[in-house]
Amino acid sequence: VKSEFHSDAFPSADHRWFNDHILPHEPLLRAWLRSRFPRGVDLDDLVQESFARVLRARANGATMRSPKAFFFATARNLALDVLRHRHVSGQDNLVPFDSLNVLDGNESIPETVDRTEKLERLTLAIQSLPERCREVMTLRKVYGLPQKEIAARLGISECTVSAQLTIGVRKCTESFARDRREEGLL
Amino acid sequence: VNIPTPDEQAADWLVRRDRGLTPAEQDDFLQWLSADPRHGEALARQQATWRELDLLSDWRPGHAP
Repeated sequence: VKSEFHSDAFPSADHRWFNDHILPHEPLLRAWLRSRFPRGVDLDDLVQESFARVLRARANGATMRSPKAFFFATARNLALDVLRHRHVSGQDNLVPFDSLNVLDGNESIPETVDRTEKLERLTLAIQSLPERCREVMTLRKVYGLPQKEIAARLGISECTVSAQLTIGVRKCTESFARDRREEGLL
Repeated sequence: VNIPTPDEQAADWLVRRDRGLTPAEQDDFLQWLSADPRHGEALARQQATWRELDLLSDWRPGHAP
């Protein structure tokens, strides 16, 4: 992620808005990113790029109900982007990370953020499962294949498919519960 | 040997039901469900996750708007 953030490029009103509504949240964002993406994500790059994107969105006339939530969602998108590029090989293509790039679309930004947040949360939960588990969950919940067909496609027993789904749904439930607790921070 | 928690049991039943229950298994399921109020609560939690994940099926690669 290359930063395009140059503070001189923005008018002073935006600068004030930025200093009041975005900058104070940087420490919490960093702490949160560090806890969520412990390895392999360059925090400085990520935060810089998030600043730049938030300012660009604002310059493009986006109305943000909660600049803080927008800032966090943007940073989370970027972190997931970084992870996606790391996972481009093989079965990881099954995970619908492309759905996360919707912030650049033409839709109204607040709606997009809400939906993106939700999809991110779901995607991240599946992404963090062990490999075989993730594969089986993706085929069942993203591609909608019945258990029998998953077993045939992967050349494993239906028992194994069921066992992996059992683990998967339970871990996702735990992951969502953790997200809800974290949202108390936002 | 660890006794499975209500959430572990609930996830197990959810996946078995997703696969399809025989009449005998259906009886076992109802018996499990009525045996302890925590079972129903755990099942509701796991089912909420299961249903929520269905949102991803609208977003698979190649089907995104």
